[in-house]
Amino acid sequence: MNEVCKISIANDFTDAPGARYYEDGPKSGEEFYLTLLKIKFEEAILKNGILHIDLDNVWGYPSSFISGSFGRLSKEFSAEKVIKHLTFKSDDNPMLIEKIFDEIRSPDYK
Amino acid sequence: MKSILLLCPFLAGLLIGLLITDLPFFNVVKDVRIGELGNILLALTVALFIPFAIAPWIDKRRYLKNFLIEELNELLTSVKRIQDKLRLCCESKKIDKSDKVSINLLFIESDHKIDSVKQQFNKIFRRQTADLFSRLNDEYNRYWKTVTGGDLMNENFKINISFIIETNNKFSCFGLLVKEGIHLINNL
Repeated sequence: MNEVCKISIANDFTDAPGARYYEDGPKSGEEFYLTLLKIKFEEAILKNGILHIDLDNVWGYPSSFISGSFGRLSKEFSAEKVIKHLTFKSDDNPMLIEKIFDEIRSPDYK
Repeated sequence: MKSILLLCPFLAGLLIGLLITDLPFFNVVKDVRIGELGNILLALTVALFIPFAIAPWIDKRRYLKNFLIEELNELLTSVKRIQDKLRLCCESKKIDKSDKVSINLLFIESDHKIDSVKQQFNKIFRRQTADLFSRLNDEYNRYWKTVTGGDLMNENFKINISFIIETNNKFSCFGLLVKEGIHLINNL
């Protein structure tokens, strides 16, 4: 499958991700999910391609942000579909990709 | 003169021959048993094999074990800095945005440490450490989720003693596992 869309979290959203829900404060996982991730992911599915996410140049990712965005994506679209249509780049922190895939495989989105 | 010099070795040989024959200082046993020959060969093998093959192998193995133990200690120190930061915030009874950013950055450092442990384990004792690394990674992720997966990142979060106790418990579990890992590597 080809890469059909791309998100750079630092450029397109924020370099300081927040908590889980809108009410927890600015730049939450929920905000990222609803304003960017879900829309681009649906576009990738529609085009039968891959959504590539650049995770670099960010001041770290709280677990609540990852759960509120990628965990929720996995709950709503299924882990299998998310793994099929998502790729990541994280030169700053290679372990981050593993953490996100762990969340996708067993989401603890509440 | 030249002919006298040529005769010297023959005369010396004759003299030695006479001495060995007529003066029984040395009693040479000419029949050697196979067991005794085996003993000599075994002694020679052990004498050469231990210093030249076994000792360097033991030294190298000890060095690699010490190296991995050092990696584990560095990982524990790195994660401890996160818990220390939380404790300081609790003592001052305040946590602001910059504290949260530095906690996230400390987690990035620890992520790099755990990645380094993973790579060194894979290079040196892959099979023997696979289960240990999996448990370490799971425990580390549990700690990360306990610290950053709850209310900490909420804008209005007030740091409190129950949060510190909960994170401290998870940190202790991680610390115990690191120490268990050190024992395991030491005994490999």
